[in-house]
Amino acid sequence: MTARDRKVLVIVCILAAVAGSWLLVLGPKRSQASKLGAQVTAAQSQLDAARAQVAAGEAARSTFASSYTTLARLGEAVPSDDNVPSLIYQVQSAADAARVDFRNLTLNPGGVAAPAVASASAAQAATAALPPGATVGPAGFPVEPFTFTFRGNFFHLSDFLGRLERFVVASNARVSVSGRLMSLNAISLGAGPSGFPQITASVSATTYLVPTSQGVLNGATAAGPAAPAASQPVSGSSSPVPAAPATIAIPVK
Amino acid sequence: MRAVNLIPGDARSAGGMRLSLGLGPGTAVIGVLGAAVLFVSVYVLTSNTISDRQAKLATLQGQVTQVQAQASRLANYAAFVKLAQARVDTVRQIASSRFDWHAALADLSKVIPANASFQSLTGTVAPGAGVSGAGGTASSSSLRGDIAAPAFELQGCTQTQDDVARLMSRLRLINGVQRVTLASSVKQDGGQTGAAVATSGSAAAAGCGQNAPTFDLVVFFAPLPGSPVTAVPGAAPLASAATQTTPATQATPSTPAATPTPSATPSGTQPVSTASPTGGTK
Repeated sequence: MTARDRKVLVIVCILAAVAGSWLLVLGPKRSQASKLGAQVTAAQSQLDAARAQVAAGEAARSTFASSYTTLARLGEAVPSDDNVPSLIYQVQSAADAARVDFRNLTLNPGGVAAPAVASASAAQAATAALPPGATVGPAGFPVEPFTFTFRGNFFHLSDFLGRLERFVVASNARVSVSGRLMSLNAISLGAGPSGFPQITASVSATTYLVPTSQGVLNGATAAGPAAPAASQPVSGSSSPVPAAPATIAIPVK
Repeated sequence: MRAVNLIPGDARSAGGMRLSLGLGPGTAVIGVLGAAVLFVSVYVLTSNTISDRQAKLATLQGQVTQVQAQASRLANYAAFVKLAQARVDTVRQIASSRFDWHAALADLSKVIPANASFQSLTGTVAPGAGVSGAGGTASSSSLRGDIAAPAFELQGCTQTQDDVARLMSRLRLINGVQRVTLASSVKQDGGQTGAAVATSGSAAAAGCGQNAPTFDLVVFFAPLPGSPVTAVPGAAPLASAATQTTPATQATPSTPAATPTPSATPSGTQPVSTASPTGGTK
């Protein structure tokens, strides 16, 4: 072996030692460091997302009182139960104010076609918890169809229909509630028993209820919302004869 | 003279070895030591990075656990606020999609001519809707189903056929009316003595008298928000229908488009003339 060969051999050994130590010692270390870096990045993202949720939750907690008030007031327009006594009271009050004779009220079971729901069993389950005669409506709210009969002159009846619809007034910024939310599907005007100008008006109307799975307040109290698993229907506006309707303006956020 | 190298042959190569040894062993040792220092430095730096990242990861995971627990406690508030907003939106949607009966009836009372009287008025928001035990005549009910929009079905009487045309022109003045469709305008032999339901004047309160035409028409309004207008398949074309439909956009009070075909009236009755009513404005 010449001197030159010895030199080459030494250089090769040094390079092999460097490469081997790099691959066997430093390589795994650097890989571990890289993995840890990725885990730190993921944890940071997770932390940011959780902090955003907390911020949203804090914002929701700060507006809980107004949301609770809004739902409680909407309970007058869309109660959790059929609340027919309050409906009669409100309709009679509007009829008195419009100088119209409130003659009849009839519940029409099945008068409103139930829209498509998830499945037949789901529909049965949803309907089973509803008041008799109610079906689940297109907006997800159970609906109850009624037929009212009134008697009065044309202009008083027109005024009365306006009063019925003004129980709930929706504008761009507010929803004002002073009674039950009612959709008048059909009206029929005909001569009254004593002839003109007395008119007998038959009105087909739909009233709305909140879903039974939610209740008026979804189980919340003034102290805070209910836990999701403990969500139970709550009859928030079940007083049989409510006080005289007062207009409540609900700000819309 | 030839140059002669006086250095022995061994000395010649030894001199070369010395030269190479000057760059060889010492340099090799220094190189090895440098490589070892570099290796150790990289190793230490990497180990430090790993330690830092492990510590940071542990801290972050602790914070994530803490913040997620806090978020889960506040999630009920967020869900409640979302529910409240959704319910407000639903109520607003329902309330704003209702037909304004009061305004329609008020407008109707303003446009009825003094010599027109109604025997019955049926208003529905959709063809399927109706009041049990009430409804228009067979002819108007069949027309009612042609357009899925709120509509009034009116039956009544006027003094003359011209008054029917005038009434149709004036009905188009109601806010939101899209079409006024006449089902029939018939003069009864025995005269019309039915009680009137509504009229803008008192002269016709007791009926329209002898030989007065009775009309049956449908007033279609603009569709409610979110309810597409659908024409019922099989509806008779306008040209061959026994009724005349007058789009609100084509006719004005001074130029009525309502000219029922002769077939629209039973035999023995007069066809509606092409009168030019001078219907006023609201």
